[in-house]
Amino acid sequence: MGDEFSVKIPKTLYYRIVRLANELEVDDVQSFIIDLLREAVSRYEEELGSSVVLSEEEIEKIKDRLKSLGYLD
Amino acid sequence: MVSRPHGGRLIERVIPEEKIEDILMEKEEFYIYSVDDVRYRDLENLGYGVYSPLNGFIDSVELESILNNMRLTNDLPWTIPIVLDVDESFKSEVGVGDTVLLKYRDTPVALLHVDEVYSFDKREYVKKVFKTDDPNHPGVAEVYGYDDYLVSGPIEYIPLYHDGFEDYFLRPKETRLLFKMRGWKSIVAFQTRNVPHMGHEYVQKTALTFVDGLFINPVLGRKKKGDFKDEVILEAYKTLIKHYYPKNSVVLSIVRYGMRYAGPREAIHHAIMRKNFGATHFVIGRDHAGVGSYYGRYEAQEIFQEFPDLGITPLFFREFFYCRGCGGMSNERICPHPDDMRIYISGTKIRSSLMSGRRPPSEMMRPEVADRIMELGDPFVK
Repeated sequence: MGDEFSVKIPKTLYYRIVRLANELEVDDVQSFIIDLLREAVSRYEEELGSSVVLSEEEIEKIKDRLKSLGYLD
Repeated sequence: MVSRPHGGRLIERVIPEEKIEDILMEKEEFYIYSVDDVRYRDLENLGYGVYSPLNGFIDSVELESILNNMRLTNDLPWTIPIVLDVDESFKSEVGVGDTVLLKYRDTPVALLHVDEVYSFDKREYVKKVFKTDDPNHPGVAEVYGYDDYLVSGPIEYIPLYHDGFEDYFLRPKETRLLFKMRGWKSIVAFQTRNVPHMGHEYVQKTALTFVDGLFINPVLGRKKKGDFKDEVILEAYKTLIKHYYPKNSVVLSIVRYGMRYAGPREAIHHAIMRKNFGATHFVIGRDHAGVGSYYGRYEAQEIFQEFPDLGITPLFFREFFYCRGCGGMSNERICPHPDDMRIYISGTKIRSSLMSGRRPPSEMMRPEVADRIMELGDPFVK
C-alpha cells in the first residue's frame, strides 16, 4: 500500500462497521472500511455528474432570463 | 436559506442544446416509443430536477419500496411511483442497456437508457397508492389502463416540445437563485389548479405573514370539461397580484404535472416537488389532491406526521368563508358566529356567475379578478 492518512471516526460508527463486518463474515475491518469508502465515493461521484452546480456564466444567464421575464429589476 | 433539494442534490438531466442536433441525426438508430401527456410532464420534471433525486423512471425494487414503505430504498420519503408503462412489443424488442428515444406528439422529448423491463401487479399498485381499487377513481382508472410492463432507467430530457407557457415556467435552479437574490430565507409554496378566490387569497396572505416570500405555483396539466383554461388561471393570478399583493413578496410560476388524485400520498409528493423548487413551507388545505369522497377531509394533512424527515414544513389550513359577524374572512377554528352568518365560497356559484357574465359576490372573488376572467371570453375548457 502507498501513502496513507489516518482519519478519526466516532466510536459508535466504528462499532456499527465492526458489527456489519462480523455479520458479513469479513475478517479485515480495515480493508472493509476502505471498500465501503470507495463504494460511497464512486456513488457520490456518479451522482455529482448530473447534479446542478452553477457556473458564473450560468448564473448570469439565469439572471438575464429572470430579468427579461420581469422577476428581477 | 432555501430548502436543500430532496436527497441533498438537485439532479438535472437535460441534453445541452449543442448535442440535440446530433441525437436527431441519429434518431433512426434508436427504438422510438411514444409517451402520453402525463408521462411527458414527468419527463420534464425529471429533466429539470423537480423530482430530485430521481434521475429517471423507477425500477421494480424502488417500486416495491415506495408502495410498501412510502420511501425509496435509501429511506428517503417518496410516495408516488414515477413509472413508464410499455407494451409487449417494447418488451420483446428492447433489452437492458438499450437507449430508447421517447416522443410526445411526434416531438423527441427524451432518451431513456433501459435498466429493467418488469411486470407489476396493478391491483396492488392502486390499492397502495390510491387506497382503493375502485375503477371509478380517475387515478385507479389510469393505472388499470397502463400497458402490462414498466420500464426503468435514467433519462436525458430533450427540451424541444413547446406549449406556449415557457415564459411562465421557472426551473428549480432558477427559482432557487431568484429566492436567494430576493433575500428570502423562508418561502411558502402554494399549489393551485384554479382561479383565485377570496379563500385562496386569505390562506396565501396568512401564510405570507410568517415567511419572507410566497411562491404561487399553479399546476398546468390535463383538464376536464368545465375546468378553467390554463391561460385564464394565469391571467387571474396576475391581476390579483398586481392589485392586492406586495410586489416583491410573490413569485408566480407554473409547473406542468399530471395529477394522480392520490390524496394524502400525493400531498407528500407535491411537498417534495416544492422543496426542490426551494420552498421551505407548503400549504395543505382541505382534501388536498383528493377526488370524490375517497379520502378524509384532512387526511392529506395527517399523513405528514409520518414524515418528520421530509425537509419542508407543511402549513395546514381549514376551509375559509366570509363571516358577516367577523366582518371578514374567517374559518371554523377562529370564528365564534353561527352558520347563518357565514358565506361559504362556492366554486359552482363563482362559475355560474362568470358564465352568465356577472361578477361573483365580492365576498367570494375580487372584482378585478372577475372582470379580467370575463374579458378573456369563455374561460372554461370545452
